[in-house]
Formats: sequence, structure tokens, C-alpha cells
Amino acid sequence: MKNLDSFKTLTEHYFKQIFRSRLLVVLMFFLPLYFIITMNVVHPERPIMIPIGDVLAMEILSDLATMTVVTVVVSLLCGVFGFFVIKESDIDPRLKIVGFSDFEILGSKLLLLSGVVLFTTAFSFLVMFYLTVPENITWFLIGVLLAGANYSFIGILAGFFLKRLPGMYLMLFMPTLDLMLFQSPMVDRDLVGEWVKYLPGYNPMRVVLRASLGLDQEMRTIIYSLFYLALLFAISLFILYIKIKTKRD
Amino acid sequence: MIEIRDLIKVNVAAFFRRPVNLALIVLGIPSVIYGFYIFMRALPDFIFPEISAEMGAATGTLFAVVFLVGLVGLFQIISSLEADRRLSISGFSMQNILIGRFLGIFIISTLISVLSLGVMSYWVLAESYSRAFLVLMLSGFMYGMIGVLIGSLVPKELEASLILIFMADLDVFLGTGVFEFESAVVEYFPLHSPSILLRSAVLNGYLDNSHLLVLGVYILVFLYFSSLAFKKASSDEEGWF
Repeated sequence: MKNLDSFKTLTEHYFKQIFRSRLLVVLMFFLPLYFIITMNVVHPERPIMIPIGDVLAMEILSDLATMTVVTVVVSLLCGVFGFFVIKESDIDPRLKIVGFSDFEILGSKLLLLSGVVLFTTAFSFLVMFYLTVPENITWFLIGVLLAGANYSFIGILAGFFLKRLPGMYLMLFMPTLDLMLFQSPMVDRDLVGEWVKYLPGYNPMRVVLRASLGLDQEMRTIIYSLFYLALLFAISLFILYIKIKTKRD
Repeated sequence: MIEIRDLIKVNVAAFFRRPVNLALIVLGIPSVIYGFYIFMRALPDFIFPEISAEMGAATGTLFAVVFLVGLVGLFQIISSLEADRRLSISGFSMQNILIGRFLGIFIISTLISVLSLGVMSYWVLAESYSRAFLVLMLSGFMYGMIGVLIGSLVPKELEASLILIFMADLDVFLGTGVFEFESAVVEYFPLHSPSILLRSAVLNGYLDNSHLLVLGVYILVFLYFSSLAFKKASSDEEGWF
């Protein structure tokens, strides 16, 4: 029972610490509105044939762009928040002195991060819902959550290695380039090359695309993306642990 | 005159001293131009018949230049408001500090334009390099002024640079007419005329005088407002907000 109380206290604490910066609150609500509405407006409402695997699927271009940009904006926000979860850890040594364990500190950070991933996904989905609806909502949400989780762990890695400004730039540009350019269904696969398969957005975007167009999911893609996620999770857990363990007052 | 020359030297040197700036030049310029180029090359022709890869490269070059010079203006203002106050206490006139800053931005805009044009040539050759350079340099300078304006209003590096990024983003997506967007509002976006000018310089080697005039007017307007904001910001203890 004591554990549960500590988790609650710590998660509340980190929540306040992160959202004290008004920038993050503004970004959380502004970015989904801005990205999703802009993408919907700039793309023409014309049908387009998209090659998915070996089939050609038809979709209205503006709808397709709106659905794929949800993945972009969720990944971007999750990356930024992952970055700040690890950046705002000055107080951890003191928390340890007053008796919180490493496990509790780590767990509550991850708890807060998962809350953010869920919330941004839900909010972006709502914004999109007013403009267009994917064929398969469940798989669509799963795909978006996968992308968001991947990038929140990338954010943790960035927070470990980079300072505030470069880290923030990386978390802005990397998901945008990855999901909007390299994994974009409108971009010719042959032009971007094979290496984009190793980017964190590759598998989630395949899930999202198939869900948006109402195609069956491939088992292979889902296994790969879970594997990718588990790998990133293990690495970032390790890094968070090291950070908490070695940080001294 | 010597005073201004010293101030310019200080400003240009300060830019090249920051590792982030060098990283943006070395990595940022090529990846932005390549990104735009490949994106527009890959867009299906039957949906976007007017968009070509050459246009993509030109637009990417414009974005790279305005974004970088905008950041220069912004960071200079934020990191040096304190120093400027001290310079003015130690006898430099406010007028000269201002001129030194703006000329510094102008020189950096020139350098970045030359570099970006060089990078662009890897994918697309311009019809008229001198005209393309002129447009890039002027647009860069305009965004430098916008950067100064944003930096004086919101004197925090991260917040201000995010505002600049999203503004330049929106400007490039809507103002440049890459996507057809039926609204007269986009014609008043700062990059509307520069993008038309740059495309015609790159593709036909030709500049339209009326758009050049519009660009000139925009530069003067932003020059006026940014010097107002700069004077206000460096004379107060804090920024406006």
C-alpha cells in the first residue's frame, strides 16, 4: 500500500513540475490543432491510389493526409515530453533522501509519460474525428500509440545525451522527417531507400495506414513493431535507471 | 564608422562561435533542401501537376535560408540584450549598436544564401544565379528582422525559436503556393512574393519587378518594427512580456 501512495505523490509531483512550463501546455493543445487542420486544408480533396504492399487502395488525399498527420503530431509531442521527463530530474536525489526508492521514482516517471501518450493520442484523435474517420478505429489507435510510445522513448534517449535546445530541435525534426517524409504513403519507396525501415516510425505507420484504409493487418508488422518497442523500452529503462542511480546532490 | 565595423565583427563572430549554428549549416541546409526536393519529386503528378522536383529544391532552399537567418536574428537579440545594455553604458551609441546588429545579420544572410545556393546546385541548377542569390539574401534578411522582432517580444530561446519554426513552416506551406489554397490571405504571407521570385529566377532566370517591390516593402516594414522592438527591449530591464 505504501508503494501505491508513493507512486501517487511522485506522479503528481512530476506532473506539476513538467506542466509548470507553460510552453508544454501550449504545445500539447496547439500542435494537434495546428498540424491536423493545416494538413487537412492544404491537401486537395481528390481521390488518390496508394500502393500498400501489393494492392492499390483508393482514398481521398486530404483525408489520408489528415489521418497520417495524427501519427506525426502524437509522436512529436510524446518525444518532447519524454525529453522533458528526463531533463527535469534535478530534484531526484532529494526525493531519494526523503525515502522514495529508485523503483518508485522510475515508475512514476513512466506512469506520467504513459498518461501523456494516452492523452495526446486521445486529443489528436478527437481533432481528427471532426474532419475524417479511419476505417478501423481500434487498429488506427494502436498504430498511433505505438508510434507515440516509440518516440517517447527516443525522447528519453535524447534527454540523456542532449541539452535543452538541440534536444528539442531533434524531437521536432526527427518525427516530422521520419513520419511525414520517409514513411509517407505518397512518397515513392524507391526514392527514399531501404534504410527507412529501421526508423521508429516505419512499422507504426504501416499499421496506421492499413487501419486508415480498412485493410487487414499483417502479423509480421505487428510483431516487428512490438519487438522494436520492447527494445527501445529496455534501452530507455536502462538509461533512466542509470540517471537516477548515479545522480548526486 | 570604426565603431560600427567592430560591432559587425563581433556579431558575425558570435554566430560562428555557436556549435548549434554550425551543425545547422552543415546538416540542416542539405537535409532541408533534399527533403523538399524528394518530397515534391515523389508527389503524384496527376494530383499536383504544377509541382516539380525543381520547385521543391528551390522552396527548400528558401526555407533553409529564411529559417537559419531568422534564428540568427532571434538568438542574437536574446543572448545579447544584456551585453547591449552594457555596450550602451560604455559609450557605444544605441544607433550604432542597432546598425551593427542589422548589418551583421545582413552579412550572415549573404553567406548562408551563397552556401544554400551551392548546396541546391547539387540537385538543381539555377538559370540565373545572381538573381536567385538576390532573392535569397533579401528574404533571409527579412526573416532576420522577423527573428529580431520575435526575440525582442519573447526573450526566451526555446519558446521564441518554436514560434519562429511554426511561423516559417506555415509560411512555406501556404504562402509559397506549393499547395493550391483558395484564399487571398496567403498572398499577404511574407514568403509569398519571395517564393514566386525565387522560382522564376531558378527556372527561367527572370525576376518580376512588382514582386520585388513587394519584398522591398516587407523588408522596410519589418526593419522598422524590429528596430522599434529592439530599442524597447534593450532599454527596458526585461522584454515586453
